[in-house]
Amino acid sequence: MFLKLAHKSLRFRKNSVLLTIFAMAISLTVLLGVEHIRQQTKHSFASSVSGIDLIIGTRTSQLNLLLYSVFRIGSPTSNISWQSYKNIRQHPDVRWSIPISLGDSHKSYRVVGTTNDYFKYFKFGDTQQLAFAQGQNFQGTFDVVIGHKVAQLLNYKLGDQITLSHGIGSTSFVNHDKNPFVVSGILQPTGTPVDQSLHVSLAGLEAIHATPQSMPGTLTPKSITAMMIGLDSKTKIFRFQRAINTDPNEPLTAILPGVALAELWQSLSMIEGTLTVISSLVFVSAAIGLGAMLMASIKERTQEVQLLRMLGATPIFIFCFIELEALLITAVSILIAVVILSIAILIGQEHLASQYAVQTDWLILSATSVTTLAQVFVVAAVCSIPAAIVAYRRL
Amino acid sequence: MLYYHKVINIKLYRMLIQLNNTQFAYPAAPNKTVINIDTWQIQQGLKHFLHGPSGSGKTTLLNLLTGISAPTGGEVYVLNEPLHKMNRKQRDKFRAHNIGYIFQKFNLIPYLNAIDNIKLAHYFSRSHSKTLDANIDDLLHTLQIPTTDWSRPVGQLSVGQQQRISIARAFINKPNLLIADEPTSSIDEDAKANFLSMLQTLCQECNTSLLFVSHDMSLQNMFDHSHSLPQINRPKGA
Repeated sequence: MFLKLAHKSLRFRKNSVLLTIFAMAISLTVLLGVEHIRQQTKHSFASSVSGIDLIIGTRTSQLNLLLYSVFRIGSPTSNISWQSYKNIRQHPDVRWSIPISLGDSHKSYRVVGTTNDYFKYFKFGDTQQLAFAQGQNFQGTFDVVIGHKVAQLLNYKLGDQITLSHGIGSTSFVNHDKNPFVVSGILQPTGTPVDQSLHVSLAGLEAIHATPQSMPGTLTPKSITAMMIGLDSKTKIFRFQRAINTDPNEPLTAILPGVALAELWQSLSMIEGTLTVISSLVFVSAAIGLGAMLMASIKERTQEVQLLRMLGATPIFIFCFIELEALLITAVSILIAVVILSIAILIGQEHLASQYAVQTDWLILSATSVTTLAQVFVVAAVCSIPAAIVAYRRL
Repeated sequence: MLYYHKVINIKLYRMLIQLNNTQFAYPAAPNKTVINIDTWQIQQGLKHFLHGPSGSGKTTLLNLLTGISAPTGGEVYVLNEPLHKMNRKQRDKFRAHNIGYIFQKFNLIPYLNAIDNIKLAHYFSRSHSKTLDANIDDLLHTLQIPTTDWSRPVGQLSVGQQQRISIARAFINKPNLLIADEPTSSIDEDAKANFLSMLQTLCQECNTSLLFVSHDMSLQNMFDHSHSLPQINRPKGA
């Protein structure tokens, strides 16, 4: 009866109620959207690389090195020499190493020059190894292994021919169209930037850049962009890092991916915090709007409240009645917001993933957003207290 | 022998309302005693007519009798229950159980239909009648509400029909006391006579005492007793 009364009462005043629901739903969409993307970003950041002891590049900031080597964002200032790469690889403490050579692209997806060790040692998430959905690693010079998204979005199959472009724009004036690559493998989805990458061998990369003058057959690169290494003992990481950072032969930087990731997230936390505050304020203003709408309705409903009191309704009942109306409005708004957001993410998913490397799940009701929703209910209830008290005091 | 006589007496004079030195002032104007009644008693089982011009404290008195407000001084007995000794919660419960009330207008929640309005009154009384639906049917039939109008929101019905549904709502809990506050002032002459006769019939059937408040003196000879509020109440203060 209680619920029926509240429900019918809201439908009776549907114009002002619908307007309030609309305002609340919009603000909740913003709130939940920001919250959701924040979580997803944090998650995909944290899981984009793991199981790697050090990332080594030219002398640069720790963030820059992380961004271009792992996230393929931005450009390296300079490369590291092939000699340094060889020296480090042959160091007795180094168990394995992955060279990375960047600079080319295919239809705005980055191309990574590397070796087959990449598929063996690169780890992501909870130290998961890369796995092939189809095909296998490089067998010949012009083999290419493509990420899940690249295959999906460009609709590539094993055996397809691909032409790389010099530089990283989608319209390049220099296309390496004399040397097409053949898709030899397609990786399983990882939810990391690997999905948006094409991997070729260092020799292949060298071959397409070779000028007619250069000697054919000697496809050893002069330099690489960065390298990832694993040491035979974790205890040697810091000593090794210091040794590289102070290498007298070449100015190099070695970073611990975990530390750099944390720093990266830290530097984003200002933006993260600002977004949360703004979306919370938007929601609070909508909740105050709800309170004002209820307050205005109490004035019109003096007789209704009087009648309920005469029928034997206690003041507490009246108070709860108004609060229940507020919570019903909030519940409907949340429902609408969740639907809007799910649809928006479903539509925008591909764009977010390809443009910002943010993997989003359209199922937005995670454990944290349930906490957020609980807070939303509390705020809505608090904002309706003044109206409920006014109703309670009538008579 | 003497003792026996006393019991008879009490039985004969069971009081519907008994006020002794009753005073009431609104918190906003504590010096202005709106209600100041030395003594007023009316008998149970009868139909009472109470008249007085507007501003004579009618609404305030009715709020005291129904327990919406508590007196600031003196005693208020309704159906022999001391309302002045009860707390707010007890008074709310007392009202839901014992008193039926019909306002001048706005007697029904406009967005509920007739049946739900009556059920709402039953809901607050916290008594759970197994024959509720049958009782509602009976009442609505007795009050000549067409079946087709039972499940329409009452806001869409005529004022006369709404007032008759109000009677049904007031009687669903078989109240001991029915208070009607100017219930006929918003309906036309024909409907008025019809309304009054239905009200009185139901009071008879349910053994309900009636306190009918109106400024329309032409109605007073349809009641057992007539009381004038200005003669009972002597407000004082500025």
